Amino acid sequence: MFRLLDTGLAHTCRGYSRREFLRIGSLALGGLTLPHLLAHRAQATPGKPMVKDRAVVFLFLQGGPSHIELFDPKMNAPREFRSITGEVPTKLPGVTFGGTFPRLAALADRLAIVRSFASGNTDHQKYLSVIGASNPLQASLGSLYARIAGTNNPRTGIPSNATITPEAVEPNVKIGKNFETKALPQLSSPGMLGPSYAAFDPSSGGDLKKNLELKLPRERFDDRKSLLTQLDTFKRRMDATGALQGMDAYQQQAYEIILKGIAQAFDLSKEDPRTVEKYDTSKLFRLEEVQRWGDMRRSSNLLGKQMLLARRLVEAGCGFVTVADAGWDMHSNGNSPKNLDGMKWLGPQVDHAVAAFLDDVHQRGLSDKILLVVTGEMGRTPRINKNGGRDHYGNLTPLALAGGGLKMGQVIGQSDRTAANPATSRYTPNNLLATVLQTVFDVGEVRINPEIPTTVSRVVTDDKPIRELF
Amino acid sequence: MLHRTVVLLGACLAVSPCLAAAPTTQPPTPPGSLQSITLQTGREKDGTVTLAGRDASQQLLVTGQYSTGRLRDLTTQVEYETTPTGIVSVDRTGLLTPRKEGKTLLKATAPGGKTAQLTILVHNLVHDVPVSFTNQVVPIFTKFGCNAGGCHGKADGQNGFKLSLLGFEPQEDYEYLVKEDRGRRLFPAAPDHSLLLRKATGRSAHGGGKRLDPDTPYYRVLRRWIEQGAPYGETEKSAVVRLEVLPRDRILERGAQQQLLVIAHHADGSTSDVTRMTQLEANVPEMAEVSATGRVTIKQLAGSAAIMARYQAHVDVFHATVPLGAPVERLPAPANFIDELVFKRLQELGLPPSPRCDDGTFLRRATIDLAGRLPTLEETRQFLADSSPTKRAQLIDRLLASEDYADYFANKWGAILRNRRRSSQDSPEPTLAFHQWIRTSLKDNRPYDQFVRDILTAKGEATKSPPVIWYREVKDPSAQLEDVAQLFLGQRLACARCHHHPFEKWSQEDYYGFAAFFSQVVVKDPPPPKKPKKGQPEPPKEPFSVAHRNGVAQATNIRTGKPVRPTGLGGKPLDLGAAIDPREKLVDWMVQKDNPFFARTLVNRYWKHFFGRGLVDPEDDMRLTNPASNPELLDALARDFIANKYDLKKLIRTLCTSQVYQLSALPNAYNASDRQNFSRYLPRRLHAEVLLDAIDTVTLSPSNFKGAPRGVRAVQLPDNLVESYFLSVFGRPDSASACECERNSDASLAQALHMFNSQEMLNKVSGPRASNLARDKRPHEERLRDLYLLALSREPSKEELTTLVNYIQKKDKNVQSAYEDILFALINTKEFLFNH
Repeated sequence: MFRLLDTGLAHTCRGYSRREFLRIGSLALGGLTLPHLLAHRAQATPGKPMVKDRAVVFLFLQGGPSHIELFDPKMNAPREFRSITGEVPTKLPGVTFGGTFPRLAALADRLAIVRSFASGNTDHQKYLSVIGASNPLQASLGSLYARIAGTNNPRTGIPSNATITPEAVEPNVKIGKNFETKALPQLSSPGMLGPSYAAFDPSSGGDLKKNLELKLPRERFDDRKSLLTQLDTFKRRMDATGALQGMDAYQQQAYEIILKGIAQAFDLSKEDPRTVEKYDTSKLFRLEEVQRWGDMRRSSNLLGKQMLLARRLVEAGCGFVTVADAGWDMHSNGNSPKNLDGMKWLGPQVDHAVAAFLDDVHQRGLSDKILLVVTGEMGRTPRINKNGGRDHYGNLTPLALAGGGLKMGQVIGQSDRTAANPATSRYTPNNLLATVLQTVFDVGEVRINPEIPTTVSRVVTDDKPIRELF
Repeated sequence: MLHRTVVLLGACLAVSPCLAAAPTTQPPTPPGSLQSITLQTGREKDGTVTLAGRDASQQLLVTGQYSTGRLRDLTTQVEYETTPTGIVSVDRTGLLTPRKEGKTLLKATAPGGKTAQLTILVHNLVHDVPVSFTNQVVPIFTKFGCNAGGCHGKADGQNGFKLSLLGFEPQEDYEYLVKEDRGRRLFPAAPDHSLLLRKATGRSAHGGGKRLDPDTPYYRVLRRWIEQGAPYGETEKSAVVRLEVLPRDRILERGAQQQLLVIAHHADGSTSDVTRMTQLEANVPEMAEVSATGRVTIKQLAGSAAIMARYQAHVDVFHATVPLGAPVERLPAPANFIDELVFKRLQELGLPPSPRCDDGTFLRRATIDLAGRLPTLEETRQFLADSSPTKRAQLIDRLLASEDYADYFANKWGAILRNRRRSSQDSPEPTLAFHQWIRTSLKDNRPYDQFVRDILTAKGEATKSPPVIWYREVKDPSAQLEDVAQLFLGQRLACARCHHHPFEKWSQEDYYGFAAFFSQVVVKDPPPPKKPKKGQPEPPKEPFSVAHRNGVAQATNIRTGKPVRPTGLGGKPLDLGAAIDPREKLVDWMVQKDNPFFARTLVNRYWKHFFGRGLVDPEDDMRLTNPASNPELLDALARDFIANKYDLKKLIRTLCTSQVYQLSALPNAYNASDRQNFSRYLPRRLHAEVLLDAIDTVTLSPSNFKGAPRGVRAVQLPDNLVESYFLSVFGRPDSASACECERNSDASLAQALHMFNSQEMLNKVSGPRASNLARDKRPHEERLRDLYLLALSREPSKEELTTLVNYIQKKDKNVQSAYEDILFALINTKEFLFNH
């Protein structure tokens, strides 16, 4: 079995030798798994690394998921406040979840639920107020991650920051358009960091993905490669300069990657069919059922595969994956089914997909390496409206976290009797942002790193994380 | 009888495992015979050193003078004896600790019999002096990293316990430790049971692990301090006013060791030895390391190394010069003072430079560095044929006068002056105007002091006064002062916004004094007008503008809450009338001839542009603790620049006509790893824009940039917003900060993938150049010669020609495809990708 920290490896004082790059490059294609990659990432910089061996999967439920029907059912409140979907007991004594989450309830010891989280936002157009905590750079968390960790994994070339929409797992899926389409770019907006830090979207291809697929006949590519090797004598004459060596190592690695195809990280057909089966949510309901409602036009039954792709990208070296799931705007006003009936489709899908993800990463021993965040741009009004729906509400917002080496198996904070306001001190998107950033970075190192502009490091250092998680 | 207080360390060298780290390579030349030795403490007065109190200690420093004039540290190699004995003890590292009150004579004897002596006076052991919180307790937290930014020193502390960052605010630390949380951290009745000591020694669960051993002087000081009832101690007389490291500098052979002494000078004129209380750090860990006791070990690299000592808010630095010791002969005749100072340094170091590079290399190098492009085929032919002895200097003049020079340096300055658009909705006119203004200033060689004044004091509307655009990205006084300090003064002040700068003397008072210069700036950035309804006329767009608001300039220090008047860094506070634009006074201060920052920063920045590495590096982080590798040269360049009235072209001419700039990049037997002393040209990858233009030229496939007129080259683009995957992946800066480090010249996998396998590159390679070459009727050898001259400014070697002609013949059915492959290979060679 390959171990990155084998003492026999050919280290040089500049880091990894060319040979080593090659070896890692080729392994990335087939068997290189996350712990190796992450260990390597942590190894790559001498001294204290700024980027920790952690990755983030951020599941964003677009439209404003109800905090009550998700993780705070309030069955003792008057009827007009209670969870419409009832409740299920969880593995944690005295804690219940909404009725559509039996599998997550059974995994509650691997989750942390924050019941005093409030986005403070009542508008669909403001995803950034949650996924970027309205930072002055107007950058999403994923872009901030890429700005600090680098746009690509230095070993595998895979982008550091990716967004997964349903289209990424099923290219021909027909998904309609509504307000969520327009707001979607905010989820991965690089803001003032500039377009180079935008999230990579596998559904749209993108330059990097295209560059991974060999475009010439193999023979011709080989000819070019050998011609280059013959002409490239300069490096030998120049001898030991780091810059030349680095370039050379990457060229060698590029050959390997192009020829063997890391593009397969994006390809779910390379996954064990039994694993795909476990994640798959496409049999839970038919697309037409949900997409006839205007506010659910972007909903899909593909969340399971999106979560699986997220895991594959993280394993291939991607540090921040945003998963977008739409259709949570449940006013029941004619654009969504009455009596919050959208929950009966979307609730079980999240339950299934997230539980499958948690089981899978647990089995792979990656729970502590991957932080999963589940939230949306706001919560919903505690009092059920006249159509049996709930409207926009910013005083409470559902938030669940799992893994990342944080303290799990707890409910953090409380809401008041009718789930209208936090009853304990309120946590905001700023606290969430700080929690995520402190999980993936050594904040002290970020602050003193001269290559990180102060405008960026301030976003990383300014806020306090959710205390109970650390 | 004499009591020997310490074993002779030399004797245990060979056997003791404690010295496993001792150098394996012995210094190359014996320094001659030992003439005399000196015994120093940095504190002795009239031959007497005083140790007062139980915690007092003194590091000794013994130096041998040899017949060759060389000095060598003998601290651990002499024998120490005291008469009478029992007053003090000396350990093997040369640390003196008091045993009982009294007076004794300390004698050090070197192998061979040379001696030196000192009188030691010990008092206040019976009636101990109170521990000083500021001078003795807080430095322990710094030394052991307790108050570091990653631990209790961060803004909200760690697990409920906070300390001020690096102990810069001892009064706050005192509050946290003694009073906060109902005083639970200290337990004077049983000091060892204090939470502070239990945590620090790992006896109670501590996230930071075990930091302190109970059997150390540090623990004893903390314990005694708690036992004494945690006094804050007297502060006025004992306040530290200055820190001094001894020796200041030394020539040290590879593998050598050197003991340092760190002395704190107090307000009342007294001194104390704080060597072991000081945080010590080497600036280049590959060259030297330093132990917690102040012992420096030089490794195997030659060059300059510095050791920083930090105690409270004070820093001082020890400089080591590590010679390679190779013979330096046949140096070229110096062309100017640069050569004199660089060669002098190389001679001191025994580091022979590479020879002068050939003409083709020089032409390509200078054309890329000055004009940001490859030389044309015609230029190359002419230059190689030119037999004038001054043709290199003429080339520099030609390039400086060219439009390409203005394009390339406008590109450089545009990025650090943050001429950027944030989104494609931003109108392109303001950035275009600012770019034009920068370009014209450089083309007309506007003196640098005036160039900076134009920008910093800019006012009016963007359309009429383009430099106001600088204020668009730096809107508030903090951003303004931080950018000005970094860009024009080489000082990174951002740290001092919230706390004392950890590596510099700058306090928050300095920060806000500097901020006050920008307190009267009014920046108006109106939002773009809303889209008119159908049929309605487009509403007029209000321009971006900057104005001076009458009023007394001042800023508020967020720590003290008190107003601060405008103050240049290290200068005196200014009283400015309400009508005076303080920015004018700021520039007045900057361009004073004795300003220690302004000229130095620019010459260092340009040095880095042409030599690959700053004399101070990073180039915008000039501080005592990040010293220049050749301080004399930096000073001389700054003096010359000022004497020439801040003439930028003249500076470039001086840099590029030096012999040092003309050295080959090929290393000799000695200088392959030299990056500090400029004994050869440091090869570096072409900048993103230059590389793309070069590929376009060689493949004859010009890139088209969206939103820019046809024919505009990448180096001519006015701002960051022209999208290009190539430029992003090769590290074009986003103009998001004043740091030149935003331009990333590192190699990456994504670059290699793009060069090898992108549609963009595949199209270029199979573009017009390949078909022209295929259709060319001349022999392949001649076509290939032209191609090499164009891409690499040299003719192909015989072997290269053979390889290539064979390759073409092998593919005889398709000559064009063979040339495509050759172009592919050529633009991917390191020789093409790098300037060298």
